[in-house]
Amino acid sequence: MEHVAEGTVESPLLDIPVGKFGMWVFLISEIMFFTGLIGSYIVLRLGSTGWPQPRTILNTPLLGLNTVVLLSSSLTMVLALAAAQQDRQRALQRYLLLTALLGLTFLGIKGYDYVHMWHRGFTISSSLFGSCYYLLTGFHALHVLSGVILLLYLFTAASRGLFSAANYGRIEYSGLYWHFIDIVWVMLFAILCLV
Amino acid sequence: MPTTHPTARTYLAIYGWLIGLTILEVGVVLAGWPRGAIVTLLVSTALAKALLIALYFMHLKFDRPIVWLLPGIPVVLGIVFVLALFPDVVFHLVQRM
Repeated sequence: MEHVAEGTVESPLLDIPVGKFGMWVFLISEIMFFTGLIGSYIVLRLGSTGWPQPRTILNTPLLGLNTVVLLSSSLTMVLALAAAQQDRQRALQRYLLLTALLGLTFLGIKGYDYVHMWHRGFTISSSLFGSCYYLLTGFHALHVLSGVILLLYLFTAASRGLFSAANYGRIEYSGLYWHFIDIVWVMLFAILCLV
Repeated sequence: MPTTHPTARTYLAIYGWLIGLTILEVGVVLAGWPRGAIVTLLVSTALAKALLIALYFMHLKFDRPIVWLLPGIPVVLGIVFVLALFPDVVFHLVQRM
């Protein structure tokens, strides 16, 4: 079977690599998924009276710190892509591992936040806000976990020297997914945790 | 694949903006600004941050404009979906008064 380098086959529709096109199609389904959840939350919130102020229940500084952690992981992810494009193998491995660790840190802080909130009586069944909070942030956390698993796979592949300046498609497409997760959190942080 | 990508310095500058906007968001909430001002500011900063990530980290700024259609269509559909439910929300609120 003839070997074809990643990113050389282009989609006839958009003139971009098929892998990238495939990732965007996947992200379209993800956009619709989160739009449905966030849209439902907005409608529920606007249609409810006596909705609590999130800052009186949630640990705002901790959630802010978690936002910084996820934004930092987006920076290291894009630096990993730049390293792959320049064939800097050590930097690529370092940035991929750092991104995965920052993702795990985000999940660790989120886990601490959940336990803390739960012990204070703010549970998934305590109020409509509780249901929305745990459902939206829970689905987001599952996506972060999937991203971390993907990053650890990429790190293993990078350690075996599978990527180069001519073959970095998987890093780029995984990066699109990781940045999308970041965008979802940026929106959730503002409209669910702060407003 | 796109060949013109930003430098590490550009990525760091974008990261600086993202962190700055996040600090601003947390700051205004903890400072207890008026609700209307907080909502306006937070929605604006969240959209600005999402746009910065999409443009620079996801490289949409450097992709062919037609690629924008891929995320653009579901985002517009999502906004229409939420707006389409607004009359129902207003109807229920008016009924409660």
